[in-house]
This record gives sequence, structure tokens and C-alpha cells, in this order.
Amino acid sequence: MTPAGNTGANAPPLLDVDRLSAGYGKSTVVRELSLNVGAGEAIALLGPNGHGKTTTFETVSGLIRPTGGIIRFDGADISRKNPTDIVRRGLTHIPQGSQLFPRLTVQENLLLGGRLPRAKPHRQAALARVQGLFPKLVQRRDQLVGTLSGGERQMVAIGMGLMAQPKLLILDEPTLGLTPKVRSEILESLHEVRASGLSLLVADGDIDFLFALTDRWYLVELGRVVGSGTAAERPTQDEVMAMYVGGTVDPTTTRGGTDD
Amino acid sequence: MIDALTAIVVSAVVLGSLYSLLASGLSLIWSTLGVFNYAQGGVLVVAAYLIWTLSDQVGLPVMLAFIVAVPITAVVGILLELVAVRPLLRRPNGTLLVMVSTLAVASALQGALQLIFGPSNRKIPAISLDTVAIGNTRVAVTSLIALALALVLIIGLILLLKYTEWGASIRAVEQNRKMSMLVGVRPNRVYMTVFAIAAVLACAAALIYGTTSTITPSKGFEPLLTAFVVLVFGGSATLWGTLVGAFAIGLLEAASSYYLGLQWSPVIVFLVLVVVMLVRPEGLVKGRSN
Repeated sequence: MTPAGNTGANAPPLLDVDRLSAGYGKSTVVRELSLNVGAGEAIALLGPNGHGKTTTFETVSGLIRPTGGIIRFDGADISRKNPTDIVRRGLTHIPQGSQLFPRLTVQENLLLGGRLPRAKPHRQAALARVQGLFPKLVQRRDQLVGTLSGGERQMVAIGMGLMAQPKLLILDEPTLGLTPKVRSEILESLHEVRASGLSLLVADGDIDFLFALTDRWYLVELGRVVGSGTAAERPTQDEVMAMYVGGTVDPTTTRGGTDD
Repeated sequence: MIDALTAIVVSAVVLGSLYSLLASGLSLIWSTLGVFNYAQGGVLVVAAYLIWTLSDQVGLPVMLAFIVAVPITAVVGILLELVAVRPLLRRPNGTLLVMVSTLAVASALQGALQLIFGPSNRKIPAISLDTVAIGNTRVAVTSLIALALALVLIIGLILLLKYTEWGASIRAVEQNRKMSMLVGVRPNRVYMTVFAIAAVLACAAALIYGTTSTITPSKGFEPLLTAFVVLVFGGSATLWGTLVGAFAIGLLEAASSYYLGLQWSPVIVFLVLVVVMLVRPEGLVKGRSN
């Protein structure tokens, strides 16, 4: 595991979100939120639903224009860039519950993920790697994504993210609505992805999943970071429950688990 | 009897080619942007006047005039997207605004053509006066060129959309705009391309229209209305449906004008449209191209 929490000491972080504010129309959802992700780090974003995790992700990936603050990625200010420019720099965001491209096949979806100039030359190798990670997708390659199960679709989504050969992959609720078996399959493959040195920024309703995957966490409430720590300093079950009061997290997903 | 049948079939082929070219541009824009482009008929008339000017006035052979007109019409399509679509589409009620703005462009184009060319009837010179024997009848080469143009362009477009990366990015924007941006597709570029393609298809339609009937600045509206019927008839978002629907409507129009008289054909076409909408609201060809 990467030594947690001290990546910013000698090298600048890969992603540096500095006092970010953002929202929709007149409603501000994210208020002066700061966080950073070091190269090779995996970071969890915790917090109740509706408190700004998705808005943070959408602002970082350029889908929403920030109303304040600065986002730096890989040494450049990307606060005012559009999503296409940002993804070309190596920051890929897989949104929550995305239906992807439902009337394209699994193969076509994956290839679209790798159409960027940075990814295209290595596309066949990346495809083989994704298929190695999710062998189920090989049998499904000519099937329309709209006809897949939720778990398979999530595998395609993560696969598309990897096809872009990003430096940072943002995953919003990758296990939402999945069975425990599929969750552990996805966890396993994300561990493999991590081992390759890719940085991750993840939000998920399944706290055990998050702590098993990440090095550090930030707790977001009402659009602000109200706590942070390393995986070793993981909050207790009671604290987690307290954090999520008012949220819509299914209690069965936050039952006590072991740290890995 | 055979003569009647031949006359109807030949007329249906020409009409079907015209409507399929016009409607497939509408279908492409509809499925990608979710808007109805009222200026498509205007683009057709602009292209028809272009071909007429280049052939009848400048003296180029008709097919050469058409080939020169194609890129110019594509630019007209791109300008249409830049002026009437891009500034409005992402606003609240954007699709409605775009429909109104394309309607405004259609009127503006008509006015401009009226000022430049006046209201008189114009006709693009015949592509060819030859006929070829098919079975025991003779068919005008022009009709066959019209058919070939429609089939080559539309089937070519279907294949490009299905089998090329470029086509995949158009279908990606159509199916999930947000996700398409996150994989690096630029939707605005796709919209511009789609308008350019639709304009080129309208240019081909203009060649058929302008050689088989007379053109005036206000002549764009009538085929646009029929192309709209084709969209509903064939299933709004598949190009195969558009192709089938266009020739079905063409046949219907040809048969009804032959047997009942020209003034009856729109009545019959819209009557059948109502019946189709009641019986098969998804259109003749179900599902979208995939």
C-alpha cells in the first residue's frame, strides 16, 4: 500500500482541488471544498447522498463550471476547461448509474472509451487488459450494453474508463445496486487496477468496499469537507452511521466489516 | 394497363428518392439533437438555385454543377448550425427555441431567394434525355440516376454510421451526450457534421426536385411537409425506416395522383398517415438503427 497522507510532502498532488465552489443555477452545492489525490493514491469521498460528492466529481471533470476555487490536475489549472480537454489530459470520470451508450455493443462502448489521442495507439493492448480484468465481457462483446445486467454494465463502465489510459479515474458509486458477489468481483479487479499505479477517487454507498480499496478518505457534508483521515483511522461503525444520518444509505451495506 | 403501372412506378421511384434524401437528413438531425429542422426545405431550395445558377446560367453540365454545389451546400448547413442551433440548443427549452429559429431561417432564406432570383419558375436542365429499356418498357435515365443517388447516399450513410469510429461517435452523442463528452467526443463538432451531412443530402434532393419539377423560392415547404410524414411513417429514428417510408409514400402519392388526380394525393397521404399513427405509432420499421 502507498504510504497514506504524506504524498503531498515532496511532489505536488496529481489532483489538487482548492476551495472549490459549484452548484446548479442559483443553488450552491459544493462550498469551498478542498481535497487532493497524490499520484498512485486511492481516495474515498464519504458523505450522505445529496451533500455534494457527485457535484464535486462533475465539476472536476468539467461537466459543471465552478463558481469559485481552483482545480489543478497534473500541474495545470483545469478549472475552466471543458470535459473533452480534461479527459484528454488523463482524468476520466465514470458518472453514477451511467447507462453508457445503450444501443452500442460492449465492444463499441469500450473502443469509444479508448478513442482519445493519448489512448488510441495502445488500444488493442488496453482492450485485452480490460477483457482479462472482466472475462465476462468477452462473451458479451457483441451484445448491446442496454441489454446487460447492472453488474456487467458497471464492468463496461470501469473498462471504458481504463481504455482511456487515464492517470486518475473517478468512480461515482461503482457498486450501486449490485449484489455482494458482483461487488467483490469489482473490488478485486479495482485492486488489480490500483496495483498498476493508477490513481483513484471513489464515492460509494458501501463503506466496507471503500475502505478496502482506498488509502485515505474525506468526509463531505453540506458541500464541505468536515473530516479526513487514513484508512487506518477509519471511523467506527457508529461514527459512519452518524455521518450518514439523513442520508439514504442502505443499512445492510454498512454492517461491520474488517479492515483489510 | 402496363403503361399506367410503369408510369406510377417511375413516378414513385423519383418521389421516393426525393423524400428519402430530404427525410434522412431530418432523421439524422432529429435522432442526434432531438430537434426538427424546419430549415431543411429552405436548404433544399438554396441548393436547387445553386445548381440552376451553375448549370442554366454559368453553363456547367448539370452533374458538374451538382458536384460543385455539394460543398457549398455543406457550408450552408454548417452556418445553419452555428447561427440557429448552437447558441440556443443548451438553453432552457432549447429544442423548442431551435425549432423556432430554424423556422425563422427558412423564412429568411425564402425572402433572400425571392430578392435575388425573383418569383418566377425555374427549372434545372435535364440530367439526361435518354431512356433505357427495362423489360418491355423504357425508363428515363434521370429516374434511375435519382434512385441511385438516394440509395448510394443513404445506404452509404447507414454503413458509415454503423461501421466507422466517426459513426460511433455520432451515435454516442445521440445516445448519451454527457457520457460522450466524458470519453472525449465533442458534441458541437458532431452537431456541425450532422448538419453538413443533412445539407448534402438536401443538395442531392434538390437535384432531383429541380430537374423533375419547377422551383420557386417558396417551393421548399411542400416536400418538407411530406418528408415529415415520411419520418412518422417510417419510424422517426432509423434511416432504414426513412428509406422504406419514403418509397411507400412516393408510391402512394404517385398512385393517388394517377387514379384520383393530383389534388387528391396530399389528402390520401395524410389520411394514411393518421391510420398508420393509430395502428402502428412506432412507424413501419420498428426500433432504431443499431
